[in-house]
Amino acid sequence: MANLVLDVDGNAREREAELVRQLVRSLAPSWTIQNVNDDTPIGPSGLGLDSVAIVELLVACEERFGVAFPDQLLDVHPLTIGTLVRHLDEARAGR
Amino acid sequence: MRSKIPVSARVPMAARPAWFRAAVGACDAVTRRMPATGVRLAEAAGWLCHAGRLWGAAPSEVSAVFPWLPDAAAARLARRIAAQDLKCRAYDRLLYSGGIESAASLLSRPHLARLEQRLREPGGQVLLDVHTGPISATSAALLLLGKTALIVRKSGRTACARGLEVVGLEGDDQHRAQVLRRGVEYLRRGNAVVLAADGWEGAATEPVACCGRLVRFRRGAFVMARLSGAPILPLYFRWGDGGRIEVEAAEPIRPAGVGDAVRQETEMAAVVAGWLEGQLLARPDDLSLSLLKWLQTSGPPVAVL
Repeated sequence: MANLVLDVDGNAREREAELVRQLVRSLAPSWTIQNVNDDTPIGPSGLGLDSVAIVELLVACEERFGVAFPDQLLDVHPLTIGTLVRHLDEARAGR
Repeated sequence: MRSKIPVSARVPMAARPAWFRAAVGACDAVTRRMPATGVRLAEAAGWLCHAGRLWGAAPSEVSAVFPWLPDAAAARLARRIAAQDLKCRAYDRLLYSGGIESAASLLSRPHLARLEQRLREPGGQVLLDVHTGPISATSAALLLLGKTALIVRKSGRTACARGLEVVGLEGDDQHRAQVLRRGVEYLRRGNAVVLAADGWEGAATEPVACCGRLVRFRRGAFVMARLSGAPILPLYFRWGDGGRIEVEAAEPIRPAGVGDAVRQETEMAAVVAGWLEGQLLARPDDLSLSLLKWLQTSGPPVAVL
């Protein structure tokens, strides 16, 4: 997970979203590019991340982007990549 | 008439005979008013219910886990397990009904002082308890010691008290992730998190050797320790002489902090397993019905002790 390479161009938000996708990809056993979009649930009903992997993902995002997610983040069901990126944007904007 | 129910089978309370339910209810009622008397009554009820094959473990089940015990000792331990289990049940009910301060009155003060020494270390600690003896005594002990803690249980119905937050693991992976994340936050703020090592819910560690078997602990405690850097303090409560509740605690186990995540967790789990095995070998009487079931279902024996 540590050796991630950013290979996308574009605006900051898209780079952010891609990095989140890469973090998720490194943790999700069933990830395939073809069947994933921002609305795909990160948990067992989508990418198959279990409770431990979900927490690992959040901690990795917080460390990588230097933000703290709100406690309510996991109240949103189901958690998707899009939700995560939106919260990242909000956390960075409020920093 | 002798029941045909295998004594350790998971039979719902509602399916048990009416007199059995009445006896258990009476024990609960007495424990609420007079905790020390109530748990002794529950212990006596446990002996009787084991004799009637209504509660507890069969000697053969004990022998399967402790093959080195002579038959007579296994039979005695099976009876004791039944008695201890109903005693713990009455104690748990006392806590569920809001009597956490009454429950705290049964704790052995010298043992509590020893636990306090262990909890004095600065920073957060993961208190990893085991289902031997009255596991809910952890809450009562933390209340007496004035600790702030998150208590993670299978269900969140345990009584709550000042400084203690109880959360249940019932729910989906996202809910369990929320509990894990909350636990890491507690630890980073220098508070304690309490979780049980044994059980069946949620993610499990890699198998480690314990009592001649390969067992898997619940993974949450090890994940929290790794992510927060807090040490794990394995402990369990037991019924001591005179109906007092004593605590056994190991040396804190610190996460390595570097290297593969699963490997770090497995190393810590192996230390916990070694400590638990040492405790059970030294004090077979500490084996509980819950721990017995967990060991039975953890996998076949890998070696003869």
